[in-house]
Amino acid sequence: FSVDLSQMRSLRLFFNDDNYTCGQLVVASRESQYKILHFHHGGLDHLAQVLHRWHTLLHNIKLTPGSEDPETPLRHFMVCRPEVQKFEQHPEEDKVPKITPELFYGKIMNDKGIIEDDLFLRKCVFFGGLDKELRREVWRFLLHCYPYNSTFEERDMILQIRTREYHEITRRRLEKMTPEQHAVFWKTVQSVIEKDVVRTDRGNPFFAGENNYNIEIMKNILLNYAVYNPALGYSQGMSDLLAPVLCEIKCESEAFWCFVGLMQRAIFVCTPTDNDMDNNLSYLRELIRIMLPHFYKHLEKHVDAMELLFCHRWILLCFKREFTEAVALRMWEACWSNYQTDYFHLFLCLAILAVYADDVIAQDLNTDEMLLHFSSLAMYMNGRDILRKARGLLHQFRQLVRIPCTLAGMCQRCGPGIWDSTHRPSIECTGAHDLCQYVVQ
Amino acid sequence: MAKTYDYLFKLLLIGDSGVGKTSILFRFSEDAFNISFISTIGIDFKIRTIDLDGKKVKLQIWDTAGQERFRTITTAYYRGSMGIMLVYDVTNEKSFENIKNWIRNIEENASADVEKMILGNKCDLDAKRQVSKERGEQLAVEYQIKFVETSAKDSLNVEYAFYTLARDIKAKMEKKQEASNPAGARSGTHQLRDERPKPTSWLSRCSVL
Repeated sequence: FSVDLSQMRSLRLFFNDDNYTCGQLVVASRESQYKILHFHHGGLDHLAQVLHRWHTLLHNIKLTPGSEDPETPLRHFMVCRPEVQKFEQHPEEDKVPKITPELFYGKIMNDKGIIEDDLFLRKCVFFGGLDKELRREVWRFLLHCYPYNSTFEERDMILQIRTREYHEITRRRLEKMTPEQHAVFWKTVQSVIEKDVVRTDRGNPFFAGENNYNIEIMKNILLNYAVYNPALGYSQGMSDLLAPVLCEIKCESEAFWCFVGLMQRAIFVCTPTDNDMDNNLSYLRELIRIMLPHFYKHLEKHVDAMELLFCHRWILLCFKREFTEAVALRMWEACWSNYQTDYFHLFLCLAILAVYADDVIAQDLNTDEMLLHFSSLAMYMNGRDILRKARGLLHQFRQLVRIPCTLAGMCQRCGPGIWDSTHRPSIECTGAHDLCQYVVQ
Repeated sequence: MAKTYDYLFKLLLIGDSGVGKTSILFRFSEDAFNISFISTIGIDFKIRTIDLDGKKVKLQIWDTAGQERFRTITTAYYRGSMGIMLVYDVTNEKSFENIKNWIRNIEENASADVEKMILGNKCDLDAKRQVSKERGEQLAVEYQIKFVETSAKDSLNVEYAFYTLARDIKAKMEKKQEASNPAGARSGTHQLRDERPKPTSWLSRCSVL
């Protein structure tokens, strides 16, 4: 491609490795078209130095009286080195171990197979993550395929029952539908699923190539889920959520039950009703208002910006299209751990904004430009920093002395609760809606 | 800063899942094609500025999931739209039948005078064809909408479609401006109107392509 530098609106460098040598050079035109140059093998730091000197020079010329040139093409130069300072981090950051097979089989699970302290397991998943080879084992707990306090024998039994149930669902789909029901099912569910499974995660070796049988399995699971839960049926995005689960769990019926757990217990999964999405977005708006007031002011300035359209895909696919798979799955696991909050995905949204929205404010991007800005960042953000920042923001949120009633609902669930015993903030009515139970009499 | 365009048009791509909306957009904005596309989730747009009769027209083309389920997205998607591409897949009967539903959807959500065009995409896949070109043309006549068969893969008629839609919007807009400001706009738009195809001739013009 070619870039007309005289039409350049901004030039930005995003570093995404710990040594600050690799990343992207992003050129945005005045028309909000983005061209991105990737530096996979270093060198971006040198370019940054050169550009810095050039920018300083340009800036100095502009400051000389009489040389004001309104047509200077470059409006904005920025070097983005996402860095999460120690004080921004959760105090327990780096203090909780990653779950390794030794830790899991030696300490977390007892000799009967029971996980006695599931809070510790979830806490480790939340902070330290999980060895890749343990995914199949641990995900089945996190996704409620069976309970933490079950023994080896009990789990064998549960799995047997669930396998039978799964076959029963398949039978219902294949044998028990009337021709009319089948016609409707084909039109509203099957035809959409068939379109989607062949374009889901085909880059993953597990689903790659012509006539890959795993695609057939993915299709069966989605079809069966629509039979199992006709109220939800199938909506686009579900195949994207299922694919990584199937890829790790491998077994069709177990993957199905994990998927059921994911769809029915994960808060970030939005059903076709608007309510879930609306709830998530209104919580997020409030979190932005309290925790990122500068960005909130920016949103207030621009028409329709409060719809937060740029966050929709983040929430719907739980960041799957925003980060590389390894990092996205770390985020999924952190969300599934339900540690200290059921809404960790919103703190991840908040973290992305905290790290990458300064640029939006500096360039005063309007609603449409913001959408382009954030979609241009997809796959180029530093996910490990985002995770750290998100955990830090959750900690910060939990330290608040007062929270608005609009966020009370967000803090209700989650096992022992979001607040520990020492601290419980007061909830105050914002006056934004009628009949609030938190109105001070 | 000086504006870099004379007109800004918001266009939408609408149609069933998998008909090739994203591929059409990708062909038009990047002049490229990728066989293994992923399904669109959420909402996205691309920009391309074209030259129409000496005017710079900035096209902002929006793309969303075929099965969009969120009211906020639907509202935002249709808001301020000036032109809509209704896309079906010539190898998929159902996507063709659904064009009628999509037109109803447009009537409910978009402004009444939005310009529309029907695209029968994937016309390179002749062996798998389920919908003949004649049926596409017939449907277009029924709704008084322009029609063309496209192939995002072979880059067939995609440019033509967007230019045609943009030209129609521009003509309509200038006609409106002229009506509200007859003295100022006359000389500028008179010539343009001459270039406009007569309403009866469009069908023959499309079939030539």
